[in-house]
Amino acid sequence: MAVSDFPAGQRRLSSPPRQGLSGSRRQEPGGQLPRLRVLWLLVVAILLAVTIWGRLAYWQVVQHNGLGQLAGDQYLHSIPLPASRGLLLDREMRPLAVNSTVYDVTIAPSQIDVADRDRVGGVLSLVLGVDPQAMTTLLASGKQFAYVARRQPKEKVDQLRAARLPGVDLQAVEQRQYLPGGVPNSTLASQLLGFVDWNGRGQRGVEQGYQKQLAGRPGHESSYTDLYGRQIVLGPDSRVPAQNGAPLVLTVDANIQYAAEQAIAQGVQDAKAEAGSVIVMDTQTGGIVAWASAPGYDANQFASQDPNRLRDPIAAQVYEPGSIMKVVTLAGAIDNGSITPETTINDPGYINVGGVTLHDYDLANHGTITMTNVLERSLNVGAVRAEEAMGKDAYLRNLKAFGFGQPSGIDVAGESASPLRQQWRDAELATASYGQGVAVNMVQMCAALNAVSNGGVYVQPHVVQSEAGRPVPIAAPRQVISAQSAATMRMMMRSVVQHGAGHLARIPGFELDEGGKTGTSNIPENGKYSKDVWASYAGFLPADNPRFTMLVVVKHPNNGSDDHNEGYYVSAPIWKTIAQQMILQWRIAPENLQPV
Amino acid sequence: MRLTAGFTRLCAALAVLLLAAAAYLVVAAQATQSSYDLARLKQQNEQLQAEQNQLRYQSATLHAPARVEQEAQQLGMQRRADQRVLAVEAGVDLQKPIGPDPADDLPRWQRLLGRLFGRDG
Repeated sequence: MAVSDFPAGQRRLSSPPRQGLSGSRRQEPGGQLPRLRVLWLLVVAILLAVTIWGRLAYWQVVQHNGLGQLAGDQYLHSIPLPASRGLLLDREMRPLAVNSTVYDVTIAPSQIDVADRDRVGGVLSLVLGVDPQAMTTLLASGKQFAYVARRQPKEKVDQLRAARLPGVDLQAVEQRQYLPGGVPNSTLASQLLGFVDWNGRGQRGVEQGYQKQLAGRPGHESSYTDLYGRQIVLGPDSRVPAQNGAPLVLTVDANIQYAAEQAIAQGVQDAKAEAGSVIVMDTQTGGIVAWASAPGYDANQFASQDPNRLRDPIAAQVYEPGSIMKVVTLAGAIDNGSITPETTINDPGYINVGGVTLHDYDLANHGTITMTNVLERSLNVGAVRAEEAMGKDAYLRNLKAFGFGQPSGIDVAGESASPLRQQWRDAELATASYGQGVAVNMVQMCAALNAVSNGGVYVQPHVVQSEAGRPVPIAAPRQVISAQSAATMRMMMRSVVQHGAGHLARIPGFELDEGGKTGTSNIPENGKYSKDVWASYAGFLPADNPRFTMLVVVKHPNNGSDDHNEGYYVSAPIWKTIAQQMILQWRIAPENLQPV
Repeated sequence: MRLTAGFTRLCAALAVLLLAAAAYLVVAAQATQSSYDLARLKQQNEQLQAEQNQLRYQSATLHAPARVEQEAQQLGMQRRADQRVLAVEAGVDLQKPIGPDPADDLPRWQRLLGRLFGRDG
């Protein structure tokens, strides 16, 4: 086949005859040049194409993300959609913590004309109370962005809006607000509820314990904007809506809480004490009705509060309960069959246990007394004898059954609980029987006493009763002692009020219908017991079908004499004041019981 | 003649195209305007929600026990220190259900039978 037989366009694509290049050149020297040129052109064209394609690939593939980001920044705006924090409501659906809208005032000095600076600075200084000199400096700085003031109320912001200041922006922010408390400069149930910090995170109490449920889940919205930054809502935007936080209904009664805050603050002041706390529990459900401490704090101004006040003394601190623990000891011994209320002992005022001599509070010889007398007069020797009658193992089982040695599991953040000792010396066991040398928190103590009030049934202490309308699951109730033993113990506690140390807690009309127990325990300091005490009182009413169990603890009262620093004198009147409010608010009627 | 007809068709096609373009522009402009309106309404909605939050907070504050006590004190009220609870025998059976006797809803013959045989219903 001759080369000349091919069409011109196909010739360069066809294979030459197998004669070698030299042979071909010899035969058609003039035909090789165009072919070479075509080949060179082809190479150049391919190189050019590869260069262009390569460059295109570089911009479109390699630089895709970066360029896309740059373009997106110009027309695509992503706006976070904050979730609204769930409200906190009391048992009657009254708000305890709500959200309000406040505003951050920001400024862009670079966008403000020199001629406008004086007016802008003047208005901002006047309305927000910012230092005029600082404003002048800020306006002259030429910065792109700066905060002028944060968390400003709507009234001030409305004034700024009316002034139509150039370069000034107002950003709405949700802020947690709490109701005024029972005493000035405090908010209601501050130590129970905790607070929400500037970043929207719950700190302490219920706010921290239920952070996940309360906070909800923020969403975001991506939308296109025009040249002027106006949002084009109908553009191809994407939106993930925010899920608002769940409202929580608490077991707290706002009115009782308020009364409790007033009473404990007054009690602490009257006793010249360092601090005091009260916890009120719904006997049948274990729900916390009131949880108050003095001094409290203002959760709306958490940033400027004394950090020591932010710590909750009820669940986050442990104390030695003192003689109130005798209720647990005697209840266990009665249930165990080791004693009865009529069991008699000889109490010379002291007892020697493991080489250590332990005394009654008055160091007096009480002679032959019953176990009811032991509780009425709060005699340590009797409690030790009851513990000895039970035996070590049964006594420790009893302590654990009443919930000691492990956290109560209350649904607030930061509960502190001490485990029971692994090894007990006889003297330690003996002092524990009357509440010294054993550390508990107030929730544990109140829940244990509540089991006696509640027919021997331990119910889980809790603060939140429902979340977004659904009941919050709590641990199942458990029988700690028999109903009969609990009834016997309640009768002995009625006797404490009628014949013993609880006389200052008597409520007119309920004298025969309330039970209680006093407690006074020395505060350990540097490994030794000091003269300072925790003075406490716990009680319930009505006696046969209690509606509430309440525990009051006052730390380091300073009434001048030891006697006047004891629980019966310091804490029982506080208990009485709050109980009277509960009788009124909850319309509790006496049961007309006979004297014990 | 053929040229004129062709020209007319061309003009008609152009006119249709122009009309379509104009309609598209109008719709696009309206969409943009609606978009701005929606954005404005969203802002308004946010502002109203903020105001609602504010009102809820004010309402909560006004109903707070501290506020109630303050108002009561301003009206000259004060707590009694010597309150006493008295147990009073109630003149009525408080355990009895409220409302008409369920037997009233029964047919007369059933009530009659009940009376005859000494049974309810």
